[in-house]
Amino acid sequence: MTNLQTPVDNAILLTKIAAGDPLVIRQIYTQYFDSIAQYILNNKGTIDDAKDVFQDAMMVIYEKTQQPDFVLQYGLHTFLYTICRNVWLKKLRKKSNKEVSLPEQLELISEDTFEEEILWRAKESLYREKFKLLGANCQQVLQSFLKGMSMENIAKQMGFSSIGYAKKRKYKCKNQLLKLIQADNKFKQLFHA
Amino acid sequence: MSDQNDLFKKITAYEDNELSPEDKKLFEKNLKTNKKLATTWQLSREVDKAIGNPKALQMEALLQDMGNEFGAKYTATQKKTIPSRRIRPFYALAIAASFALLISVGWWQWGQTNSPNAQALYANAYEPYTAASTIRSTNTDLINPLAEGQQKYLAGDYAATLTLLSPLVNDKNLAPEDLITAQFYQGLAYLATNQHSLAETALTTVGQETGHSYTQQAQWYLALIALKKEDIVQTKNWLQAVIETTANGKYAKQAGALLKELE
Repeated sequence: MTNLQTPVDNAILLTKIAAGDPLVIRQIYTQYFDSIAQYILNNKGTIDDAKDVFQDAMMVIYEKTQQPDFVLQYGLHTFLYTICRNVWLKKLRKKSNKEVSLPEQLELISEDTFEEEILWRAKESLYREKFKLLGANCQQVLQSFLKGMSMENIAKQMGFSSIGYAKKRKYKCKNQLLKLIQADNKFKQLFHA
Repeated sequence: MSDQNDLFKKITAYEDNELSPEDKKLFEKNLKTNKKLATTWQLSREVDKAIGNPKALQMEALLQDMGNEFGAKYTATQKKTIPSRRIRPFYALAIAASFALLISVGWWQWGQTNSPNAQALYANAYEPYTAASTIRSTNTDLINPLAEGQQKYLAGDYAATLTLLSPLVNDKNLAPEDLITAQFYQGLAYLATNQHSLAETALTTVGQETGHSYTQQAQWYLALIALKKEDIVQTKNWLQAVIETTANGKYAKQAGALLKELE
């Protein structure tokens, strides 16, 4: 089992998170989810809010670990707790439309820490949510294109009659996805944040 | 909206390298001066980044499953916490007398139905279905109510689930695979909103399917519905069916444990 608390093991921990190691992810949930859930519930949240916040924080950490020069300067608990708190603070402020503050239980890094990453995470979550609403064929066309597959190969793979049809399909699917995103209230808040 | 379509057509033509060199230069110049074009361009790039990373999508699915599992455990732990109270002597006497009455009624009932504390077992065993991270649908249309219905269920919005899925269940043109999925989630949403008879109707079809990926889960929830109705015989039948469907895995284990409690 990976030690989640010893700074010396931070490098190993980051490598495992970067690789999406399910055992380490489970260990992190086992060790920290309940306390963070309690914090969210004590601060006007629900268990669903806690799940979302924890997931968002974990994705922020995951994406940070993809950067080769990233070094975890604090313990994982501090890092995770800070991001969760900042994510929850932003969500609370959006809900209430007024200034909100949250109690600090640890000596934390500043409130603005990882602001860019948290904003990106919120956008990413919205885009993926709407992507899942597309039909299976649309999802496949778009992902194949983004993997670098040629339109000719996409047409063959999908059984389309021509490259022209494949291009048309890709255009329609992507356009529909953008419309779904722009129609969501969250979009205006995020894109002009 | 047509303004938006025009912008996106230009972006697509640029991405697909279909613009002449002059038009390409003009497009790149407009990106700096036309705010709407720049915003749509930024959105398009960000969307590509979000959906084009399969490892990140896998990680997200893993986290969603994990969150559902730990969220359900946390909720179950909170439900089991019973606050202690000090009871005044008079009330203690009243409670003792009530217990005596209940025990005698209960003893008589035990002879009649032989049902263990079914409601308590149900409360302990029931959790909303959380295991799915893959939204299933054969729908190739751009908008997919079946996928959205599943998402709404997993997000805990049971009313929206029923609104989206009920028309699908009655759609004769729906693909058989999609019908099973719709009935499964519709049944789960009825169960989550305590509409047990409707849940039973929806889930029975799924529970009787052979070899479907939702069969065992449906059988488990049908066992719980029977337990809620205190029909212990039917509960045991469904639990046996769960174990016979697949002897390994989470549901078989849960069914085995519940069968032991009932016996």
